[in-house]
Amino acid sequence: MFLLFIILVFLESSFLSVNLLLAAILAAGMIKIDKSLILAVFFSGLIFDILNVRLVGVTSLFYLTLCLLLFLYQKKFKTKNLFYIVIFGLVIFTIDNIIFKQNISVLMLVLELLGLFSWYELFSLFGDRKKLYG
Amino acid sequence: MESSPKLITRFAILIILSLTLIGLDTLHFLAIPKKAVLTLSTPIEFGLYSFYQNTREKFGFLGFWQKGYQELAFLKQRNLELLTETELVQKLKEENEILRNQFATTSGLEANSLVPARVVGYSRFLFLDKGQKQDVKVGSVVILNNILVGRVVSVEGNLAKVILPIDLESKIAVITSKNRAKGILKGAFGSLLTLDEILQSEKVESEETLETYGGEYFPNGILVAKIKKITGDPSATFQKAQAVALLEYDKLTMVFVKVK
Repeated sequence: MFLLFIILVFLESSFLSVNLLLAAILAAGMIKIDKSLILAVFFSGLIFDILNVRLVGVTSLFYLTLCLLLFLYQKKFKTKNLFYIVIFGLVIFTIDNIIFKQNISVLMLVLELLGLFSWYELFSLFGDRKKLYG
Repeated sequence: MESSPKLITRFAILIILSLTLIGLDTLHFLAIPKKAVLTLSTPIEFGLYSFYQNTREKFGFLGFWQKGYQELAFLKQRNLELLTETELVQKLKEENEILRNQFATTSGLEANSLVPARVVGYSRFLFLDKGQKQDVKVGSVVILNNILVGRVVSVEGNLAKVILPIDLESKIAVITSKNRAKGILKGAFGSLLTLDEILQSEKVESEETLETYGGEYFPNGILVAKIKKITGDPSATFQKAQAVALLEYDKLTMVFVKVK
């Protein structure tokens, strides 16, 4: 998981405008949150900040807070309720765009939601969580 | 599966750690680890960005519009060159009449103060592979062919983050090159910009180029955009216009940073 996050960090720092890292973190968090995931989120956030010349720790703090929220509301997502996924994703992507991009683009939100669904389906497909998180 | 209290404790520890890192970075205590990470990551970022540019170019050639695409790209480039040349000639004439000594520095920018920099990333901002080590500072102006690319907003050892004129936070004092009407150029994302705060008494025309004029960030006379169409209500206090950037920022591979 950490490797995937790092690849996404580099892609986003180089040319990708859509926040697929956040989408992947949300999707993974909706399925299962454990120690290795929060560590991966923390370190990928730090590297993201350094590569994007942001204050180091800001992205980690944001992503960790999201994961904590997901953890607290995990039962809602365990039901695989599409409604919760869409609403939660939409709120989080909007907040992310406001804080870090100071701009809300409908196209970007749609692409990020699509990313979230894709990651969610992909991670669900690899249902054996042991394979994903070791 | 880990128990909830244990996991919440881990969350708390990492959140506190993040806050500590924010504090340390604010006090510039993380310069060395950041430098180490950037030394390793910059070549990777540059490689990815080059790969992206090459792939895009190749896909452009593979399309059925291949010929049209090439011709359009050529014409755009040629048009840009001619536009720049015309502006430079005009500027030279004016400067020659007013200040003989300055005709050699057509744009007011001295060549020896320009540092070439490779573009290593483009998202909302442009990332360059030159930083504090090469004297690049926050506020340094970035140009290409006397056309404004942007302004450095944050800088590390070998990395600079540049805000572009199309950014929503960007506001540049400009003047039209032909009618000398002053206004404020605001970013609107995409390649479009909004020219605002032009007095109704001023005359503006479409296709007029815009150049920097005063303000705390940019020297005068750097081309930024050209007017696409005049918009806005004639009864309003100010005129408005839609402008288009002269550069395609997502295709830049090399730019120049002005250092003093």
